[in-house]
Amino acid sequence: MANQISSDLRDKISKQLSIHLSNIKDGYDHNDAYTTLREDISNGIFDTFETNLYIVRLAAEYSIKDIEIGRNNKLSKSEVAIDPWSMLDPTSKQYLLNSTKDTIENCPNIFHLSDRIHLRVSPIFSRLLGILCLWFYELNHDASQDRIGFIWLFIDPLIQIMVICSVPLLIQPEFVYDMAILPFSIIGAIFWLVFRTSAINVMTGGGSLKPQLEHPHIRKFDIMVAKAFYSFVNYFFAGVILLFVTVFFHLTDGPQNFLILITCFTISWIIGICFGIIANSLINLYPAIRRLIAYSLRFIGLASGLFYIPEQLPQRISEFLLYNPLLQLVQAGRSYWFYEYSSMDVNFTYIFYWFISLIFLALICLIIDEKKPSEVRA
Amino acid sequence: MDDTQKIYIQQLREAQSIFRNQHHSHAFELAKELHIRYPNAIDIKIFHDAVARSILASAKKLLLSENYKMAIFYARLLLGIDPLEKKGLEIILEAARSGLDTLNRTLLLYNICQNDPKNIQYWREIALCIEYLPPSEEHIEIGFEVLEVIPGHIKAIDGLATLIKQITESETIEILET
Repeated sequence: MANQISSDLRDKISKQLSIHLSNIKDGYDHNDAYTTLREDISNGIFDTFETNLYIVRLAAEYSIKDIEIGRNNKLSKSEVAIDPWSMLDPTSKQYLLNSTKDTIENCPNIFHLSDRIHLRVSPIFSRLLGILCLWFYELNHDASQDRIGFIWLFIDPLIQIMVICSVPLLIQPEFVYDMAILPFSIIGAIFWLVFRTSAINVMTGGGSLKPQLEHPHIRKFDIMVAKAFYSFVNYFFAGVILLFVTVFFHLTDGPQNFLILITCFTISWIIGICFGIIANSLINLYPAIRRLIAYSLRFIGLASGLFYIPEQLPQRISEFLLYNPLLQLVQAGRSYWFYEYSSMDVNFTYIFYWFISLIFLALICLIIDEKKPSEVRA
Repeated sequence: MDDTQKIYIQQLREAQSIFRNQHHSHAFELAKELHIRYPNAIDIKIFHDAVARSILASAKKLLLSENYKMAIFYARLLLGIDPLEKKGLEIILEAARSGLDTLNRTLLLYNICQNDPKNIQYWREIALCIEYLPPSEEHIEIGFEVLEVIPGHIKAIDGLATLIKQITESETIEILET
């Protein structure tokens, strides 16, 4: 059909369209130019070239397609790394953030990269920037709910950690196997909370980020990770601050190996994400499972050594509980913080197998979910 | 209790009894009417919202049991009901994809989204269907409307080109025959 349209007509329409495009004020929104071109056609400007109005209109749509394809290629090739920042550009069609708060306006400057680096960065980096943008959006959305928003973002995880810490403070002696009780409970609490909140955030859907699925570069997985990253940052900073407060007050000597501690914390977070993705997929299949998952999370919480260590339990129970990889991670975290304690029960091979299996299962769930008719995006 | 209140309570009781007799759509129509007529009556609002939620649950259940036409019927009742409209639209789209042929799917979706350029999912679905529609002026116009909402959509343009080609050829044959 495209061959049936005369080249004169195509040229004339393309020229007219480029005139309209040069006249538009907002460089991103081409719709005004397209509308004016369509009005020109209905006013009969191109009737001398072709008598069939459908063919003239179709020729106009082909010219519009050429412009749109050019724009998309420009975004996908030369601006692959810059593109995520168009989500933060208020004049962009892909503007992700509704708010004009200073913190968000400064983001492109904070993370600005030189042009040389832009050429090297991969689409993965581009996706990570997209997730970062979503995280900023979520952060801003939560913080702007009320006057104490930003303060509350910091205080809320501190309170949650302290509430969990109050239980071992009440039931345990001052030292548990030579570990001071406060840092002992803080480590347990942050590992459990990062697992639980990231699993719940991933499981319960996008929330305020859900409308961003309409954005051409955003996928369900990005939103899940952005929501989980939110809990990672919250509990990481809250935990580190509380632990270093205990160091400041000489309750403990400080980390034996901070890097491995952070690695264990990150693994807990990733396991939480995987658990959330699998649970989300199961809930979509059988909604009633939601109740079971809520209870399973409580059971995992109780079995994760928040308030105790396996050495304090009868051997049969501790052997059973050590099948829980989160308990092993908490134990590893404590072992690499305290000089005084080293757990004999931690098995990194076992944790590794759990880690790989959960990632594998979560990826399968994501792939199956994306193939569902309701999730397919044209 | 004044006379107006007496009247609406009587009507509300009737609607509730219709709802209890499993005539959900009829009950919902009555609830909507009552809600428009007495916007400040809390009893009516509560009843209206409850029936709307029940309609949504029925639509979901019908979708899962693959009764797509009834699912669409129930989900369409929710259009314009603010918090549930989005879910209703999702159910209609899923049911239309699974249970309707291309022509009916296009007409149904177009009927719903024709005044709503923000409903991109529906327009995208229509764009994919254009190619398979029987050639007619009405369908060509739908194709051009799709391109106004999603400019440059390749599948829509190709589909439109096919339709125009088919209609032009059939017109030529008619002219030759006469």
